[in-house]
Amino acid sequence: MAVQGDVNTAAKTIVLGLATGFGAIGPGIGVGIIFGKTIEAVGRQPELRGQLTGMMWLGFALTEAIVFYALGMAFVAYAIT
Amino acid sequence: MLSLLATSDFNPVSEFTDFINHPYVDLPLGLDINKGVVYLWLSAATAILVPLLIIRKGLKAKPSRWQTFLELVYDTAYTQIAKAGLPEEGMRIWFPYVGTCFIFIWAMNVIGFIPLPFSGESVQLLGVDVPKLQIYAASANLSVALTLTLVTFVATHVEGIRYNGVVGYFKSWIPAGLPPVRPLRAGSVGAAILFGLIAVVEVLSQFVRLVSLSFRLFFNMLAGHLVIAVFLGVGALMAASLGNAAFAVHIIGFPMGVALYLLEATLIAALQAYIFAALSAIYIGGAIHPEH
Repeated sequence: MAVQGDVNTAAKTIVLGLATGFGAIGPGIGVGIIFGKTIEAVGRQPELRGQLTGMMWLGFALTEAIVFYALGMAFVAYAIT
Repeated sequence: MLSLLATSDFNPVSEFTDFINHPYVDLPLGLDINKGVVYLWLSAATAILVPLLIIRKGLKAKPSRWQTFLELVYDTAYTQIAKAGLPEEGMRIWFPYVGTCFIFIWAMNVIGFIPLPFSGESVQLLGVDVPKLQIYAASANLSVALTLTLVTFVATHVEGIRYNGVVGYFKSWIPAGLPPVRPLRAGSVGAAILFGLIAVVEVLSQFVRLVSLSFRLFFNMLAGHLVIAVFLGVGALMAASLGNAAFAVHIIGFPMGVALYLLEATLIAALQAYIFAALSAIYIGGAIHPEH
């Protein structure tokens, strides 16, 4: 099959996907650790559940935001090149 | 937002900047009334009117369902967000601010998932022009997220200086326990270099907060809308290359889109508002009482 279309756009699209995908690896592991550790902690001390849940969501959001740095940079690269 | 599926040229950025060039009312100094502004007005009206209407209906000792909901929101804002971050003396001024942040951003995010006819495009249906429905969140816009963040940023440093004095506040950025810098003594060069490095890192971290707080809200909503759009329209996106087989992709993609829509509209919309307010409270509280 012959290659059709704009190679530049294809490369940019592939890089957009790769950057977001690689950027999601670390936060994915981090979010897993946060939820796992919270479940462990609640298992040990169920009476602290309320406090731990609040801290869990805070940690979740802080970690999750790192995906969006990768996504944001990928969009910027897509838009300006 | 979903109208991007109609075009084969997919540019994720233009979808969030095009409406700026097509305002409803053109005013000087860039004060145009465009889609984002209308959504902000809607969000502000919702955040003010919904609690007001619930209170006006009368609060009872045996609460109705709406009153229970409002009490839950207030309790979350008071104990989980404000109490967790702010010291006692900051509560009087800054609990209203972080509570407002919570309710306003939540209203903005939830309204962003209700299909509304503000796209400025219309479709012919039985011979009548029906405006196209679309989902668009005002918070999926860096200007909105950054403005809210700047309020927190300025408030943090103003409160820090007001409670600790200029010297005391900036001193509190440097962590305690560093070796003291004493000129003309042994080891003073190393201590000075260490002090300089840590000062640079601490100043940088203050500005990274600005980026992280605004980007978190902005990209969470942006990416949420994009992911919903892609899954709901994956068949349409692939129709050009797959032909009739795109329908099979659509059967898998559409339920995924609906599931993601429900997740985003219920959990993520509330969570991002909660996080923004909680981090604002923690930053302001940390500036008032730096040793914590």
